[in-house]
Amino acid sequence: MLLNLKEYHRPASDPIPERSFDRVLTLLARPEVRTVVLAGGDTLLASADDSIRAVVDLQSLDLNHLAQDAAEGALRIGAMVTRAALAQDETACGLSSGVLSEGAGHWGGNVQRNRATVGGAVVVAQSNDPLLLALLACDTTVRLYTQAGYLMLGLADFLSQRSRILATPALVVELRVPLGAPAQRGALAYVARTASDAPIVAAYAVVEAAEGRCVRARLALGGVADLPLIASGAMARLSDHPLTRTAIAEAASLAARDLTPPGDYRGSSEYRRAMAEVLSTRVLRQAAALTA
Amino acid sequence: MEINIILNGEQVALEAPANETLLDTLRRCGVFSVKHGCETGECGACTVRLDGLPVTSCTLLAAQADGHRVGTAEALGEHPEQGWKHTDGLHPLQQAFIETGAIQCGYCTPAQLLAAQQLLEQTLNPSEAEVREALSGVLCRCTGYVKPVAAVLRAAAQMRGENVPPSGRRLAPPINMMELPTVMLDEPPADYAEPDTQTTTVLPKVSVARSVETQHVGAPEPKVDAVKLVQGKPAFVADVEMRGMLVGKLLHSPIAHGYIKHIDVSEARALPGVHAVLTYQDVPRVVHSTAGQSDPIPGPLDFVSLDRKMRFVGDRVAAVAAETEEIAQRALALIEVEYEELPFILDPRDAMQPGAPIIHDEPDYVPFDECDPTRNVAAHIHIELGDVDAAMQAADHVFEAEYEVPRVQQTPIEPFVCITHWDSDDRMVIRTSTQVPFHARRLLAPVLGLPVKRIRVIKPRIGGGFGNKQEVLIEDICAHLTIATGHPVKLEYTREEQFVASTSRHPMIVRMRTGVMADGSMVANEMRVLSDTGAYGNHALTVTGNTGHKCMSLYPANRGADGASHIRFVADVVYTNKPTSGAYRGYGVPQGFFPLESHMEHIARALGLDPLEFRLMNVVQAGEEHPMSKAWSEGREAHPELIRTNAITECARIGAEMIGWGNKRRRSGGAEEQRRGVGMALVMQGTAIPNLDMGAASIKINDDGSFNLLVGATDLGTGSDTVLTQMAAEVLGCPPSDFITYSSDTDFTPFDKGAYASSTTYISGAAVVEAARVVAGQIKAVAGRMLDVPPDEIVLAERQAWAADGRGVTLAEVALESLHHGSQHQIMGVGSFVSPDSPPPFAAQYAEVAVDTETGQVTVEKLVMVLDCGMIVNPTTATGQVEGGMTQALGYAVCEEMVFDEKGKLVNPRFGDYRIFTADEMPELQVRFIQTFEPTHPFGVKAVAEIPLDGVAPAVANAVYDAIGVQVPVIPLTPERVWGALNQG
Repeated sequence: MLLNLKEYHRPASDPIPERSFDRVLTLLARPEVRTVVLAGGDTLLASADDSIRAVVDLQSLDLNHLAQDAAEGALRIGAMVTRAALAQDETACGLSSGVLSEGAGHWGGNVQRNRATVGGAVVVAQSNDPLLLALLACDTTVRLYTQAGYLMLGLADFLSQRSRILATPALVVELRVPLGAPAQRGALAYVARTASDAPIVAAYAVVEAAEGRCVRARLALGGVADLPLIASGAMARLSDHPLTRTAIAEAASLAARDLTPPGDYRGSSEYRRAMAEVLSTRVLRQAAALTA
Repeated sequence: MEINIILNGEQVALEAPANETLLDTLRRCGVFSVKHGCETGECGACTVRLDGLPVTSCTLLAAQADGHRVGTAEALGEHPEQGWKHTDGLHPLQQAFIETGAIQCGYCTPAQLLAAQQLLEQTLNPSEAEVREALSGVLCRCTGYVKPVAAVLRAAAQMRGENVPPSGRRLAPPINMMELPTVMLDEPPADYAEPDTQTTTVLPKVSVARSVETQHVGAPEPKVDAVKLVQGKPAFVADVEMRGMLVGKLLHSPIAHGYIKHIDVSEARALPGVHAVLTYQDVPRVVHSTAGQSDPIPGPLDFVSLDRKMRFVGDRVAAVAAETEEIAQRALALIEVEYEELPFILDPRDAMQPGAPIIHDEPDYVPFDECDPTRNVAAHIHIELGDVDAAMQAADHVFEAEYEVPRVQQTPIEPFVCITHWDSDDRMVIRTSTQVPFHARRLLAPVLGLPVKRIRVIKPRIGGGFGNKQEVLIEDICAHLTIATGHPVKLEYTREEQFVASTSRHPMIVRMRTGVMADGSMVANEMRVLSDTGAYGNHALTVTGNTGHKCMSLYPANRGADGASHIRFVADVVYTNKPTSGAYRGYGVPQGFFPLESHMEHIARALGLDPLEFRLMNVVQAGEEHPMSKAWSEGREAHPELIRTNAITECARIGAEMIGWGNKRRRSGGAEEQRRGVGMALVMQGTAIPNLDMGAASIKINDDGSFNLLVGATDLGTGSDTVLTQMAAEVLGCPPSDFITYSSDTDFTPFDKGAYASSTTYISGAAVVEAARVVAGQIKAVAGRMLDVPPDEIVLAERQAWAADGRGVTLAEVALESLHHGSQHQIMGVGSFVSPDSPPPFAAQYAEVAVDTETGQVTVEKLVMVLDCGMIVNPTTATGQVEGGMTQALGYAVCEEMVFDEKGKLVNPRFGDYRIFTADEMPELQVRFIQTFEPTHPFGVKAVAEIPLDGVAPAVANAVYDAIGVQVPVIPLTPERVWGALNQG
């Protein structure tokens, strides 16, 4: 129970969205009343955070859009789109071998995914969330609304600065996922206690190759740090190189080399680091094989 | 604030505070099909349909639903005949759930129905995977999801307009153990029409020696309580509302060990809406045990309602009664407590070390048997059969190894919940989710300062128990609050409390030592156990004693020259500063079979023997004495027992065929990083506690020839009300639908020890049969007079009493005659039963796994269980018990574990973090029964409820051993543990 929650706000949609966004920011900016954004509600209500005095429900702000923007070459995902909707979306299913759809679908059960939102996932930023890894691997951009207007940030940058940015305050309104080249392929691998359990460690790779050489590779790892991360060293190792087993092994080794994962009861630090290499190898090989 | 929703098609306006969840609002407004199972949206019991989509309502503010459509199970369908009013009846999904036996406790059923309804609105041709996906967000702890999935597929077929034949069928008749038949696998019958699911339950196909003609016993009757449960009717404790009812809450200890140095509750008491705040200073100190067991309690008395000393993180500090949940929570926050912390014990290996902190140093501690609180020993057991040391010396090989099993939680989806109030006669009425209503009444009387006769315990429907509710855990506090306030009080655990301040399975460290001859004959067997009872010793002696009593009896170790058993079982059950261990389905036996059956695998491999043949060479046989029976009986006088029925060899052979034992062992193959293996375990359990467990029943006839069957037995979702009704129906010659079965209420139903020790079908069932025979005798006397024939010539069948010449009178006519017309009296009978025997059920369990050798992840692909549980009264409920039990045991094998930090705080007190299996990740399950007729019971039954828990973990571990060639001696088999074993050098 949010014991001290006294105010529930649900700003109405406005023909000029910025006006309703401004109302949200005004509510969030009140120093005397701790106010937080309410998306699906699962994480927030489960937190039983006694410091919360007010919530702003975004359900009426028309942030449920999920559409391909041909002009921008991106899939635009409103912050209130649910994981279930994204998992079933045709464009998402076709993007980079369906990594986005797969990532959205691998979380909780059916009834939980019907409420959990994509925006919520980005704000909560759980390290082992496969959706976040998929979004990172797909080079997603976060569109925020702030008191200074709209702001676009790469997802990795947003995640690393998210506490500060959200405190300004700011509202995540949309994610933009580049559609990528048609030849782009992706793969997910994870280790978990059971098949549908949240991953202990997960890896996502998106690879584009031409004439046997890697044109572009993005590798995202989860469960190996406080936040999901992009394995830049591994990506650099592969860029413009043939996708050989040796190159992939070296890239995976680089991905794991400098990690100091926090351990817990589901996996020690040592285990997580080892899995980072195993799973990086696996997804890079799988994605590379799909490009062939 | 006012919220407007369209609730089940009707516009309604509701008042709800900003912080109230939709779950709480709906329940406050009488929508009781929506259940509380957690507060984090992870169990799914609170599922509603929001604008058509199934979503959890415990993590949804009521305000979020404003302006939306909300659908609940109340709108699905209802009983077709309501007096003069007729309705459209039940929804096909509801009907299918009833017909397939998809309902056990029924607590999660409304949520499953809503999730399935949405799927069938999208497609009437769902695949099994789609059904499993649809149900994946609703946790079920009873069914293993087998029958709910089958029900959805069946409903879909019906809704497509297909002619779906009746669900379920009878089992093959029994094996005559005096003349064991050749076991033959038959082809499935042509009329087998169950939906083909991933977890198909295949009913047994065994040739037989003799059959027992029965009409209702052995039939797949629907559960007697299914219709109400499928409608989500207010049948559970928390569904009861009372005027002026207060909310009870507990403040729990944040420290593992120490004293309350100072406690100030003045601010909490002053908070408006607070009616009582109780601490150790306010309630009498009455030392007792919370274990729901027969008198005298076979364990130490080491617990008081509220104490100054804290013994684990989660122990009770204070209790509050307030007008609302919110006020109660605020009151808890206002209680100021200063603690004096003491050194604590978290590792049971430290408990008996010199200088260890003493957890129970209170002067009023009442020891039992060999417990020694000065050494933190809650119980000590030493059983010695034969000369073990000499037999070990004579053995060609002695194998020794250590194994470890974890603390796991029962996690019934309905948490502990209790409502207490004073009735108009100043009697304390305790309505509680308990497995032991009569024990609860007896144990609570001194604690509350009331005589037994001034306490009434009512057990409504229970949302699962699994042993957890064999504990009188919160009733005392709830009643103390009613005594303090004069008000009705409801106390309901949160999910976190259910984990932290409830009971769990005893973790154990087990050392095995076994003497074997070169040919594989076992001549000596020793098990040494260090068992962790946690902070209190409620089930310390009996659970751990059972570990030895049941497990060490499977292999009598009597294959030496003298033909005598050489068995040693030694156990220390120690206190630690962790949550209390207690009863959990299996009651110590799963903890013993993991080490025993892992050890058997290790020995077989070391000797180059087939593990199946090695086991069968040494396993106990029908006609032998139960090896441990004369040595131990739960702390009471022991008597020797004969094993009369035992089809374990047939179970093992058939199971081996089902899993493909011969072809699949010691394979290497598949992809580079994937290896596959198969493993097995043999297991046995008991059926009730001999010479102790007693059940009773009463039956009376009504004017229309129907009967009231009153039983003290406690149906916690198992279907016991149904099978007891079937037995009564068999004796009285009428269908189960002619019975109004009621359990249980200490004011109205006869005594029963409660639902534990796999006893109900055997003990309470025999009591029902006895009561029914008394009633049958009275019916025959009346009918004899009416037909002018001797009573002993009357036969009861088809709702009539028949004379040999073909004349008959209906039971309704008999009832009217006896109640209204001549020689008037109430036809009524009482029966009770206690047995000197505890006939063991036996089973063989098999597992097939894939192991990812790079990550250590184990995927269990198939589980097979073949059981000899005597005669099966109801194949549907019995298979449901096995499927659900296997699924719980699967969690024990691979993913369930309570984990604590360095200060004794549980780090995973919520679903998700504490992982239990969901519908979409289940392996294939196959269950078969090999029926034997146990002669000590009128219908030949033995137990079925607990044995499914016993062998899954060792079978899975042995399959992993087969796959990777390395034994992992600790469960659960988490990826890191398996990976560690693979990389240990």
